[in-house]
Amino acid sequence: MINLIKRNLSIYFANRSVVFFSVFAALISFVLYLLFLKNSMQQGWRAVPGAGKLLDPWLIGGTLSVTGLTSIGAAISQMVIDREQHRLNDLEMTDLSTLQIQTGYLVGAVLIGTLNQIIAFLIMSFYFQIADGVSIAWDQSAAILGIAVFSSLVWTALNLLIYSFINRQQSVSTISSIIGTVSGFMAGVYVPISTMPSVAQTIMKFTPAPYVSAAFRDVVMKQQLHDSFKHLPTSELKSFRLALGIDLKVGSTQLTMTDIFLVLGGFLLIFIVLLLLANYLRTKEVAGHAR
Amino acid sequence: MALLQVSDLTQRYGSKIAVNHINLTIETGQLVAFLGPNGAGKSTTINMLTGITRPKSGTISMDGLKPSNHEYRHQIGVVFQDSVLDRDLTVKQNLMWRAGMYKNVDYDFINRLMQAFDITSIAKQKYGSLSGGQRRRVDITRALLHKPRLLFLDEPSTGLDIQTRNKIWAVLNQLRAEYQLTIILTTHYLEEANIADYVYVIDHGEIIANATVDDLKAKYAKDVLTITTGDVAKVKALVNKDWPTTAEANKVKIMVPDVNATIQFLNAAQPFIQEMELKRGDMNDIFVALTGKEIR
Repeated sequence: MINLIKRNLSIYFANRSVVFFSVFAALISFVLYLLFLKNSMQQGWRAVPGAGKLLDPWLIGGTLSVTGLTSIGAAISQMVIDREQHRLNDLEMTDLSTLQIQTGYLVGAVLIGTLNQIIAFLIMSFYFQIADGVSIAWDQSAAILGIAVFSSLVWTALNLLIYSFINRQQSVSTISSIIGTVSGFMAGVYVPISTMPSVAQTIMKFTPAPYVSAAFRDVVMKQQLHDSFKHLPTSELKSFRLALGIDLKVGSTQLTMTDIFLVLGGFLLIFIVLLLLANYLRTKEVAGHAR
Repeated sequence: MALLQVSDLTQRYGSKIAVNHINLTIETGQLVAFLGPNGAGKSTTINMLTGITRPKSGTISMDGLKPSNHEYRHQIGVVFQDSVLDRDLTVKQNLMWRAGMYKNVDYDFINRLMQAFDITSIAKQKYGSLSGGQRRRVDITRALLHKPRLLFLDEPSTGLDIQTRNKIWAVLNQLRAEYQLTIILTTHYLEEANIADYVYVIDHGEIIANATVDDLKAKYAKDVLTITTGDVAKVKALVNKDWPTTAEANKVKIMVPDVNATIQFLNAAQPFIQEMELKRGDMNDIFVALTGKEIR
């Protein structure tokens, strides 16, 4: 299996344009923010002390959520290509089991997703440090890495599920551009979740995106939130966290960080069950009328 | 000893029957060719024999093992019609990482294969940058990595030059001699079927003939002698009455049964012969005789 992972990683990194664009696609929201949104957002929150320094890591949190999803999509789409070009048949000729092969793609994708999130984190952090003097949350490195790995698992399961229905390479680019466009909004990267219509908020909460954003934001904004709100009442902090999607409410229940991880774990479980179901239906279909 | 036993194998896509109740017995060490036009059902059969698709009905057994069994798959090697190796990886990465996906691989054997197929010198090149012939040699090496007992070659020579073809067959024949490697190949090239020990002629999903190449030739392919002469009537008079003969302008075409009879006839007819040509019966004649059409 190690050999399959090595192979998948090498193919991904051999294609430099894929690597570049999967990081770049995620960084688009970063660029859009800098060009168009930063000023008006800062104006909107100028009542909060140090709003600028608060919004910079806020953006990082949401962008990392998108980075994971899109770069893992690029990694998993390799499986569609391998299936279409009958490479999967060749892999199945080896002594690897189907489960080992799928795990090979999964591990490769999680590594790629995690790595891309780390790269995106560093690029954005260094930029904001130079431009706005925002200090990088080095002390939170372990937590960031943990969220990156865990969210990568969730995104990988989701992508495996989506791409298990796609047999054509042509459809891959369509699907990935749809996911890329939608994910920015689902993760609440550009626009704070509280300013969206309630229907949109509900739809968002049926995807893992806002939960991943919330988890990242909680960690990367920790220090600045503490500094900005130390002279303000706790209720102010609470409503700010909710407004910007650092905290989330489902129904009238406010989720704790533990709840958020449980929700993400739930998504992971659902995706895996659906994936296994799809696998099962696929093998039945193959048995029925194979090529 | 029969290595592979196939009975009543059938495959169907919707209402179209792609392979219709075929039976095969493949002996250990044999080189067996599936000869047939495109769309005859050759690849469909290979896909079932290699476990890629499941048959609608029928059984496939190799020493009691079924294609769905991992042990079965471990004993076979497959060279697919289209390449299945990674263009962005080097030849060595492709081969060594695939080898790592097998248990108990003999790396000395792999090194020997790479030398025999002349790919040691291109091992560091990307697979995508190789020529068609080089790629095919790498493909075959990949299929042999784990020293399979049975090798499937699906249209192995398509688009290859004669040197590459000779090289490939020299190595494969050596392996056959060395460890009784059994080979099944599909082809629509007649000369490739010619080297087989045993041929299954497949058309419309059915086996329409199966025998050794010599037996098929004896039965279906006759040598044709063409004589150019100034006196067609005299030549025709000398031809044995049992030999089918046609005449056209100053040419007489005679289907001759064997070499001795032909020489005797040529001696007798010598004064009237201006030019002569003997065309040996080949697989094409066999194919035309069996299917009523030229092979595509």
